[in-house]
Amino acid sequence: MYFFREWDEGSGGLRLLDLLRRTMNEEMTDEQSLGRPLGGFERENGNLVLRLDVPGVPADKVDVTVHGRTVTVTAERPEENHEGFRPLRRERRTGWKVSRTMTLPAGVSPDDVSCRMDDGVLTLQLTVKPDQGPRRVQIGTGPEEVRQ
Amino acid sequence: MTAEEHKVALACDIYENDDEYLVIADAPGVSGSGLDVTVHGDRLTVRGERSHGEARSIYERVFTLPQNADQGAVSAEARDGVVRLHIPKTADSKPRRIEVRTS
Repeated sequence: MYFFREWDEGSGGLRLLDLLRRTMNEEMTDEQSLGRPLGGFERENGNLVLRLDVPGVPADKVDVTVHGRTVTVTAERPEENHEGFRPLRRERRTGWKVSRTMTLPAGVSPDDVSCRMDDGVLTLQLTVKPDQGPRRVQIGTGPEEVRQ
Repeated sequence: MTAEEHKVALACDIYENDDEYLVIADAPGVSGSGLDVTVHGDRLTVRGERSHGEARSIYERVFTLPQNADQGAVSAEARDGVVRLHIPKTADSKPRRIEVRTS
């Protein structure tokens, strides 16, 4: 019988395990430990960038739609099939579908939404146009102006 | 470790068949060139580096290889943020069919 196990040798190995445990407790949220996508908006060069971790999701299983001022991102991770293999350890989650809807912030038009997939990371970029300042609206006078 | 460097445990699945062990790990943001797999004796280390802006994340996991793992023949590939390690089993540990002779 052969075993595939965590490295654990003396204090070095224990230190590493301890570090991993602490890292998992401090930095992995419930979402992440369940293998669900995690991400948030960041400001980059004045634009808004949203990164979602979607490992194992092929580009054709990602859908981004803009409807009015609403953007919906849907990603689907297919179930993996390892035919002929016996599982020894399962920690990852596959076979899920996630959908996230957000309202476009001020300064972002629906045409300024772009999306790309790289190494299991979905990046949504919202180009923010600089604030043009208030626009004064001319007030018409007289009956003809009102009819128009 | 600096404030902008995060160490993240690599979530792994491990499978086996008669020929090999298969280790699959989720490492989003890590490309093939950002992946480092080392075998030192029976110690297998998988390390991936990911940069996002000024921050950096390091994925790492260390395993002890089973005695029947062919340490010199480990191969790795990365695709869509998923890393696959193929660890062949040594020939003498694989099941061998004995031919039954009949007189």
